[in-house]
Amino acid sequence: MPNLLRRLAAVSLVLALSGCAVKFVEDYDVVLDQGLSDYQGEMAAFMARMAALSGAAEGKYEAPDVQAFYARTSAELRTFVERAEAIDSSGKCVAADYLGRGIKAVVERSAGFIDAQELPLGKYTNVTEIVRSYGEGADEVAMGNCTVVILKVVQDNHGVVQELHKTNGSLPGVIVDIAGPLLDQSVRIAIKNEVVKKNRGDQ
Amino acid sequence: MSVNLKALNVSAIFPPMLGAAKDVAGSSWDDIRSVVKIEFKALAKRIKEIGRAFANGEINKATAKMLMKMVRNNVTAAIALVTNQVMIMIENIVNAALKIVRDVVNTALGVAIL
Repeated sequence: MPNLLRRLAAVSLVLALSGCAVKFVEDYDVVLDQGLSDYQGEMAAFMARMAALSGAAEGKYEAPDVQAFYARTSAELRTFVERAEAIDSSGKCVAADYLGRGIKAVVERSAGFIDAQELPLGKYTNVTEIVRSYGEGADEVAMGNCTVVILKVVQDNHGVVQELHKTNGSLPGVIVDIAGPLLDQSVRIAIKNEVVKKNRGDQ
Repeated sequence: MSVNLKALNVSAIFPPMLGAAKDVAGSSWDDIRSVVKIEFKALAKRIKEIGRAFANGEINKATAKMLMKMVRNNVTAAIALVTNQVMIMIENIVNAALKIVRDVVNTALGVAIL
């Protein structure tokens, strides 16, 4: 750590002499911050309502209000991702990118390895399929700068909730109890990301 | 105009730069550690819930797979958040050090040149 700090001090000296202040992460975006907070509240209310209506016609995936809600909120999230991409189009989130590509590579190799084994997995006969599915899209979500990556995760999680609603016909409490906190966690991370940018320099 | 050249000595500039960097790194690191702990603990809880619901037959395999995809997504998001936190911590360290250099040089020269 002292060596790193000494190097940073040397870089600081050079930058000070050039009159620059450094910025490695794009600026705080009040539109994103507010938009994400609104979306978080809307989704929490929607999912609680869907769980309560899971046996009723209004809670079905095909219900007009449900369709309209997904169309509107999906469009909002698309706007958030496009906004973040426009602010910093060339950025890359190195750690997330490696993680995404790493997950895909590990999963692909593990699937082949599991195929070659005769594991006593009983009823879980199609383990390879489950393992492979875990790697699907891992590298795509992790592309872009770190803010874009986080927003793509929120967008992808939103898509998963919609897909769960579609395939199950409704959103029963048992699914809402797990998917709700998972979606909320990704939105919370996205909001925290904006707060960190907002408070930069306060330490 | 009087210039205080002694104040521009490296031994006079470096210790406060190092001190500022340590202060910034210390407070930022506590926040980063707290984020990692909270988010990964929450994910561990969700994995347990998915496993239990699947084992009890409350959710089918397709649903379990989709929920696990959300878990994986959130690991990626948490890593991305921590990456930004570390980048901003480094940014703050460099800028705190820059401010000290600027103050020392401007004070020593008696005029704001930086």
